[in-house]
Amino acid sequence: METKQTHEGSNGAVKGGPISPGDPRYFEVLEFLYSEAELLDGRRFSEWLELLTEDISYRMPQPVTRGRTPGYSEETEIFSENLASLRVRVRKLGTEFAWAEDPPSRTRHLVTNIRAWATARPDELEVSSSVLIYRHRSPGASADLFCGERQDLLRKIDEKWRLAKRTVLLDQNVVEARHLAIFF
Amino acid sequence: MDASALNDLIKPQEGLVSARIFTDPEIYRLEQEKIFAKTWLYVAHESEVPRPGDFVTRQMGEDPVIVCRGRDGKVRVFLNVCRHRGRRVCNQDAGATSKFICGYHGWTYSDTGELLAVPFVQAYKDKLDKNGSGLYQARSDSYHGLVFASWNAQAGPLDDFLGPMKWILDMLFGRTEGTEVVGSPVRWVADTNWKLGAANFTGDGFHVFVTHGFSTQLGLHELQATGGPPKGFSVSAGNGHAASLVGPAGGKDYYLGLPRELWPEMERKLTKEQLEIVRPLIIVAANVFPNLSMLQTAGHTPEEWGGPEGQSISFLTLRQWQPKGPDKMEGLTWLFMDKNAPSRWKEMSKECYQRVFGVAGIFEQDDLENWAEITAGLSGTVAKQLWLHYEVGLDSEPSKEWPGPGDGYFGQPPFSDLLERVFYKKCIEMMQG
Repeated sequence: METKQTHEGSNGAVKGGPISPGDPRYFEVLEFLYSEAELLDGRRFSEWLELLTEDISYRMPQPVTRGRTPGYSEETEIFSENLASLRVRVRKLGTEFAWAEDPPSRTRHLVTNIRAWATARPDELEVSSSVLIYRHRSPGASADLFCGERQDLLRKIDEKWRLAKRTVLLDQNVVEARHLAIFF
Repeated sequence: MDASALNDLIKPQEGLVSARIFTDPEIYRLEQEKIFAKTWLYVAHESEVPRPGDFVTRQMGEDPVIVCRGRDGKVRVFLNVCRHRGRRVCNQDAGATSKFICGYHGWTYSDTGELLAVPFVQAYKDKLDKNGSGLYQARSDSYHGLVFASWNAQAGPLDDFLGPMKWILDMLFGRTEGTEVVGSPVRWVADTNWKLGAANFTGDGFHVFVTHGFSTQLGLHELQATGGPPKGFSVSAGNGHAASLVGPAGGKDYYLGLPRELWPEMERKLTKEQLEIVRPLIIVAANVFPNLSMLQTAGHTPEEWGGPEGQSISFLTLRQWQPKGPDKMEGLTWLFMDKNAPSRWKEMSKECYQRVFGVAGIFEQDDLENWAEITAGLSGTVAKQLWLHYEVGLDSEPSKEWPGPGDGYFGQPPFSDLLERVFYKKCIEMMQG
C-alpha cells in the first residue's frame, strides 16, 4: 500500500521552468481552465468532451493518511477514466436512467492558484490549479463541497489547448458525499 | 422496545417489513447493542497488513479499532482507545509501527497490545496494574485471510458463525492459490442507513433493469448478449448470510469470467460440487451478516467501461457498510485480485472495477442514490408507518438440486425477495436476543 505526498510530475512530462503570469501562454492556460469550468457548470458536457485528447487520462487517486503523510494511494483510484468511458458517462446523462443526476447537480467550479510549467515538448504544458467545487441537488440532500488540486497536462492540437491528463488530489481522506457523479 | 414490539416490525409470512427500521434512532441503538457488539464483524484482509508492525484502522459498529500484525506475525484487533483516559491512540488510515503512543499522557502500547510505558509511572506507586491495562483486544479469527472480530466472549467460533457461507466464500476467496486486496479501500460517508446496502447485495436483481437501466438502454450489458433470462440459485447460508448465484441461460462455461489461465487452479482448489456450480456463473452477489457485501461480476462489457473491444473482464469486490447513525453510514470498498491472474488481466479488472463501482462508479452511483433517497424518504412521521414490500418468492421451496450446505433455491435468483427477508428477519431476531 504505497503512498506519496503529492503526484507532482506524475503526469510523465519533464517539468521545465515556470511560466510567469506575464507570459502569453499563462493567459491561454487561464482562458482554457475558465472556459472548461464554464462548460462543466453549464452542463455542456458534449462540448467539454471536445476539450479532451484521444489519450486523456482522467483520475482521482484515493487519499490515504499513512504515518504523518496525508498522501494518496499509488494503486487505488476513486475514478480512472479514458475517453471512451468518459463518453459513456456523458451519454448516460442523456438517458432517462441517470438517477444519480436526477435532480441534476448545480455545480460551481472555483478555479484558483493556477501555476504552469514548460515541458520538454513545446506543445505541452504542466498546469496545477486549486479547485473548490460546490454541488447542490435538492432540499432532501445536503450540499457537497469538494476541494483539491488538479494536476493537468495540456497539449496544443491545431492551435487549441486540449486536456491530455488530469489527476485530482482531493483534500478529504473520506469522500463526504453520497456519490460522485460530476466532473472535476 | 420489548420483544413483541420488535415482532411488529416484520411480517415474514406476508413478506412485509416496517419502514421504521431504516430511520428509527431506538432501533439503531438496539442494532448497535444487540447485533454489532454481539456478532462477528469483518475488519480487514490479512494482505492489507502483510508485515509485522503493519496496521490499518477500521470500525466495529461505531467503535474504532486497530487491526495490527504484531512482531510475532499474528494479526490482532484492538479497540483504538487509550486505557488511561480514552483518547484514540492511532489517527492514521494505515501504516507500520512498533508502538502506539497516546498523545494525551504518553501511555505507550506495543504492536501486540501490551502497555509498554507510562510516563511518571512512579507517581502511581503500586496502584496501576500495567499487565491488565494493555489495549482492549477483541476476539479475532480469519477465513481465507478475511479477518473477523467480535467483542462477545459468548459468541461461538467464527467457523460456526460463517457455517454454510464458507462454501460460498471458497468460490470467491479460496478458488485459486490466493486472493489479495489491491491498494486501499475507497471510502465515503453518505446519508444512508447501513442495512440498505447489505440487503441489496443479498440479491435484489429487479433493480438492475431500472436503477442501471442506462446500461440496457445503451446496449452495454452482457446479460443482453447471452440470450434468455439468467438462472441459478438463491442461497440462504445460515445466520442471516445470503448469496445469489447468477448464470446466463445456456449453461456455457464462464468460471465467473476469470481468465482461462486460472481455470486449472479452480478445478484443483474447489470441490466437484462447487465447480459444477461455479462453471456457468457470471455473477455472485452476497452478504455476510450483518454488513459485509461482496460481488464477483463478469457482467460489464468493454463498451461500458471503455475497455478493449471484445475483451470480457470480471472483478471481485468486497464492500462494508459501517453504521454511523440511523441515517448515516461510511461505505468502504476493496478490490480483490487472484494472485496468479495474468498481469494485463489484473490491470483491466482494476480499470473495469474503478469505472463501474465505488462512490464514483457509473453503475454504483445510482445504487447509492437509491439508498440515500430511501433513507430521506422514510424519515418523516407518516412514512415510518408504512409497510414495505418483499413478497416475491414467499412460496418458494429449497431445491433438492442444490449440492452445497444451506438452502439453495433454484430459479431466477435475481427475481426473488427471499434473501432480503432472511436478512431483515435475522436483524429482528438478534435485536430480540
